[in-house]
Amino acid sequence: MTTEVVVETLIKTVIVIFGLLTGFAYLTLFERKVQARLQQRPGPNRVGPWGLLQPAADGLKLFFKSSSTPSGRDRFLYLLAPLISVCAALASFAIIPVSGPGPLRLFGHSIGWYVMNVNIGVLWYLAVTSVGVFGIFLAGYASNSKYSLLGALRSSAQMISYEMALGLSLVPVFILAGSLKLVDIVNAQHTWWFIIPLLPAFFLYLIAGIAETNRAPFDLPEAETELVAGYHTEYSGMRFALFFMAEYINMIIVSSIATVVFLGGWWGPLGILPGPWWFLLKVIVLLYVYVWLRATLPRMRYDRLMALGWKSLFPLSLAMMMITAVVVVAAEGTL
Amino acid sequence: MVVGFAIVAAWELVTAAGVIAFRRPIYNALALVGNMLGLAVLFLMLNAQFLFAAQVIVYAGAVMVLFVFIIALMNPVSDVTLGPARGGEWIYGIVFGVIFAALLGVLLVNQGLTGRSGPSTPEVINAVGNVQSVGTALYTTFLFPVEVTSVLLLIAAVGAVYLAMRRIR
Repeated sequence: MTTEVVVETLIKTVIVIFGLLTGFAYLTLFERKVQARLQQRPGPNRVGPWGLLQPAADGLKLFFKSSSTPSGRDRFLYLLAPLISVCAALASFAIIPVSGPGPLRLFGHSIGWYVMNVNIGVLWYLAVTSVGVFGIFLAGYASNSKYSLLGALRSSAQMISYEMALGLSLVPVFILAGSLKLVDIVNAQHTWWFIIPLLPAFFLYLIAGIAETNRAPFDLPEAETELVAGYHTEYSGMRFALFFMAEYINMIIVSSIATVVFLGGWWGPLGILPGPWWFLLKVIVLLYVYVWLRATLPRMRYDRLMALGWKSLFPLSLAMMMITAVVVVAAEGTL
Repeated sequence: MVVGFAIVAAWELVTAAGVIAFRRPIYNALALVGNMLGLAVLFLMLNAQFLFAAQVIVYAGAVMVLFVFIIALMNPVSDVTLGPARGGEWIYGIVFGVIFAALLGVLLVNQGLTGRSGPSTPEVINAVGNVQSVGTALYTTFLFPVEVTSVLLLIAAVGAVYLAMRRIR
């Protein structure tokens, strides 16, 4: 590994982290605005024009808030848990190519539109999120509170269950693209976005992705009427903000992967806009769907949520995988 | 590369010691998670990206989350503290330690420190693709062992479901 590669990766990492944090800040505003409009009210509009400085105000408030901590906590794990959550969320973006097909030419270097283009591709995302579960679970365990522990149990059980459906719903894409590398997957969608042949898989992925990020209507871990705030009940100030950040960054990542894998990534139907803008536009549309669902649907019951994951989504994504495999092999004429 | 290996190896030894040295079960389990993640990093340094992902998803992600789950549910407030080790445990430790050291010694004498390189060199793997080469090996050369293992896992899953159903009735 040369120094040049190390420096390039470091710079890209800083850009990605900065971008994701900005995205997180404005996603909270976006959510509040859209939800307000869906409910016939104006939403935040006092801080700056159209409330555009609201995230900064919220951030300052959380930053200067005193952090209260529960007395019987496990000191080390209590501090470690939010860090695991945030690091896992930030690290998953490393594989996502935001534009293409060729690398960016800058100062005589050719720079890829991703932090890394690993051979395992989406498996990196699945690996990192499966470690992210520890953040949530340890938060519940270390807080020494029954609400936190129950919330953590629920959310980690939910995340583990839906990870299966999430991973399997992506397999048809790998079969069609013949690669796990996200750059290859997007390039394979030059003429046809994969959402067209794989519409059921797209919906399976979307549902599993919403459940995986613990968002409404699957936000059981934070069911405030019964569990106060779930696994982060005992966290306040900046430590709470870290969990909040992880949740919103995970939403951005699920949307980005859906964009790259099903919606053609940087390819636009018309050659008007450059690649990164198409990517951003599609991610925003998917994030709108997230907010829209939250404003529309009531929360599900927990047993029905688990039944949906294991008895509907899991077999359906397995079936989708088999059908795709059979069709691809038949189309190649080797059956 | 050597420096990186030294760091990861040191991490592996420390976390492995942590698995048996911590007095609270949750820390033992977390040390094991750390150990598995370090192992995954070693796989990554050996160009085995797919093994890295499988190690993290299956062991660190799925199996260990289950361990931590059970530990947290069994004693959420007061952790059990283990009593002092009895004399008998040292004998097992010594016996297995000697066997392990002997195996390592035989390997070192026969193979040398770097081992022998097989047909799948890093260049070959990078040309074909990491996932592709693992997949080809699993579903052609080692098809029979893979199928036998999957049947074994299926039996375990069916058994677990049967036990759970019997409890409900």
